[in-house]
Amino acid sequence: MKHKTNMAVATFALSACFVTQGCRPTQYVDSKGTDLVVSMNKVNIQDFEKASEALVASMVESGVLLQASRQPAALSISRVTNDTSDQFDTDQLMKKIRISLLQTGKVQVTQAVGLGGKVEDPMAKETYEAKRFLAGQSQTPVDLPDFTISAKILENSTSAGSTKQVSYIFQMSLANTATGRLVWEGEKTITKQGEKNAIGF
Amino acid sequence: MNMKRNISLTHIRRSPMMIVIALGLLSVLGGCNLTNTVRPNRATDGAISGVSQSAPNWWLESKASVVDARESVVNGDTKKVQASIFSSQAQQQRFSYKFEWFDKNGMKVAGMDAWESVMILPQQTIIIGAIAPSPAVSDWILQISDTNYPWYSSAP
Repeated sequence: MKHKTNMAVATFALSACFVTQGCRPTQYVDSKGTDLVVSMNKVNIQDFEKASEALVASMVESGVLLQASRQPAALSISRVTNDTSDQFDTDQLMKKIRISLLQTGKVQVTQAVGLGGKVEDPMAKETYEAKRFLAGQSQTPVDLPDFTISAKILENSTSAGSTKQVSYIFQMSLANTATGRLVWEGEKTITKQGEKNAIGF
Repeated sequence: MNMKRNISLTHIRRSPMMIVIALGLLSVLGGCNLTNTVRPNRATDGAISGVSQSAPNWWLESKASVVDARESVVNGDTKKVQASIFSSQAQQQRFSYKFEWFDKNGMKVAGMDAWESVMILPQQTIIIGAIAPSPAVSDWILQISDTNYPWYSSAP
């Protein structure tokens, strides 16, 4: 009788162990779900997601994209600086921003010009220039952007006892190239607090 | 003396059963990650006339109950949504939410659907909101979730 009870206890303990996090096997999770790893010392994918959505929402809500003389307006990406201790490709943020902005239908990203003469798609630029040459338009102005975006990501860390806190500050500016003025600025701060990495939020 | 011994033995025999029940309960609660869903009720002209809540997670509803919702249009053609959330709890609570978007045919429109985590104070009403990802959006639902159980939070 006692042996049977012990077996039942062991079985339930193992079941509970698998249901909760302790003995979790490797598995695919939803990249947009709530059971992602939350790190104390790096920017997680959900942080990029939240920051990009908040910044795009603020930009769209401001209505500045309608200021361009043509619709959809031409957009180009200017300098993006990662000033955090976490080394990551800033495209993790900027690509999401661009995808969301394109989805609004208010802007299109030009490949005619780029920061330092470099564009993301050189083939698109070369083909564009070749078509302009063949059409006898080489002397006419290229498709200059109506807006440029610049961004900076900052970090602020502090602690109290064994509890650590890190804030990642996503700053973004939109310049109207017709006036050279910044017509919109947005900031999203994501703060994480704890003693160690965790799963779920 | 014998009586005391019998009581003590009974207590020992019951302990494993208590552990079994406790572990079983823990398993059930650990897997109990139910999401509450809020949909707008619409009048014939499409305006919001209230909300319908599907709240299988009663605990979550007690700390994140949608009181009302409203819509406006930004940028000429893009839907903006706000909802008021009330907590009837006596302590500060946390929950996550996201909006999902649909076009006029009921097809899901991707984007602007990341989970957002917020804190709510006792008896507080907070406003949450979002902008639709595209002018094609004509309807939405709000999903509210609570995954951060004490026994479900530590990474190995």
